[in-house]
Amino acid sequence: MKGLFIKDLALLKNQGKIIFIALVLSLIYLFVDVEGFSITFLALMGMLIGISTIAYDENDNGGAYLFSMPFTVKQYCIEKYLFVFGGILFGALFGYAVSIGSILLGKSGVTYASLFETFIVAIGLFGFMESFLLPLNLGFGPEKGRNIAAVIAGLILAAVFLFRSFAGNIPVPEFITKLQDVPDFVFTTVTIAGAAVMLTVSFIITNTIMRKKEF
Amino acid sequence: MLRIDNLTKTYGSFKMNISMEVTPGSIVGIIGPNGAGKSTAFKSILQLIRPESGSINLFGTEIGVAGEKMNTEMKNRIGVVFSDSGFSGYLNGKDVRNILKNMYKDFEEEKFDNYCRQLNIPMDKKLKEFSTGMKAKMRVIAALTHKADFLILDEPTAGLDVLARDEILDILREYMAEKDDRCILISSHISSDLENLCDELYMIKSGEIVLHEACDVLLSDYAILKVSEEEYGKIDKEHILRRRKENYGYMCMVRERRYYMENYPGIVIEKSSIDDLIQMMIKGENV
Repeated sequence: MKGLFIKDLALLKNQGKIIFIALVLSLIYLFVDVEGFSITFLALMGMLIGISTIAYDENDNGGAYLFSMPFTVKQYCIEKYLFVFGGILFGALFGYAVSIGSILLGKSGVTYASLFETFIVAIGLFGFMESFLLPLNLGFGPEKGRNIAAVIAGLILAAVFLFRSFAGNIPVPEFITKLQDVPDFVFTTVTIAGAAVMLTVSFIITNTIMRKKEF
Repeated sequence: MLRIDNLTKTYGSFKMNISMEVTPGSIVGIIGPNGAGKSTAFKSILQLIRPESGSINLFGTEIGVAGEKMNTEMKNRIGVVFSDSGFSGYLNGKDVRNILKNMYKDFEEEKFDNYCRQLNIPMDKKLKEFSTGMKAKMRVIAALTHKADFLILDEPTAGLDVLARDEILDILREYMAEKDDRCILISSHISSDLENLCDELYMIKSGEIVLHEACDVLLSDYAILKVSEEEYGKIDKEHILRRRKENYGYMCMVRERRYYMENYPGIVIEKSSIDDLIQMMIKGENV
């Protein structure tokens, strides 16, 4: 499995310019008071860049050769989940460091506690996204996977729009209003635990899809 | 080393059904036209596609339809070349070396570097910027440098010029000479490559093995008879495997060259090349 990590890290060199621009952009937020923006921005970039390695694997029918090498389908799936999650974690950590720098420079009024909460929620949120995007990308291929993800995102947006349009007529359930009273640490813990469960279920689905895949 | 029995795989109207064997110490070639099923056979052996029925015994383990999944230990013992699949073009030679080093337990780094030098493979250039020949050489080098016992090579010389092909074939001979029980299963469109390299040949057509013979026998005992219709009417047809109608009469592929030379001294008997035999097997008709 080490060889797979080495391969994906080597492929990241091709994304050098994008990674550099993302890091430079995040540094601008050292001087701008936007709560933890660089955390979510870089975590998102980390996730997308990690997922892009799937396209490199499958480009020019590369899957046939790749899967003739000494690793199992399960190991490939584990590596991809860890690699993409590593991208999220690295991005969030770098963004966290930038945000702390912003506080230290006196450019941000955000508290350290609030920043940490943003960091945890970003990891959980993008963990959720990873759990959707990896099965789509590995199961349907990067091209189709992207399109399906875009359609799902569109449907969600449409649903939100419709809900907001009719929200005035629909009574908001009491448990939703009570969510505002939930302590922050409970909220962040539930987010992380939820992401962990979603990632586990997603991994099982992806592993099953990949075992049936032909190259 | 490898034994395949009645392995079947269907793609629409195409159905592959093959049986074959590769014994330790031998080089076995598969030859046939495009779409005959060569790559399908290779991918079935490597479990990259799922056959519908049949058995595959590799290194003494059943890995066919009802068998086990190929484990990493087995994969470590195999070197693979696909003509249309390899490392991402965005990697360079150094990346490939580093990946192989961390992928295979017995990767031979020095040997990899030596081959790259010998075959003029640049280490800092991205694979997508390689010429077709360079890409082919890199694939072969990657397959040969982890002490594999068994090479599965699908068109390894595709896109190479004559000199480069010779270099690759020499390297394959060196590979075989290093250890007695190694073996190679190789496909190629270039029959002369297989003619000079292989111990045995399987000819495949529309998913079926239509001919299996030792290369020596193919070259010594098989022949092409060129006969008029009148001569055709008179000759013994027992050893005619295929015939094809020509302007002058018939072109016949026979197995017993000497028999026809001794008994029919008046007819044209040509020593057949592998290309001639392929032509006859593919385009000829049964007698």
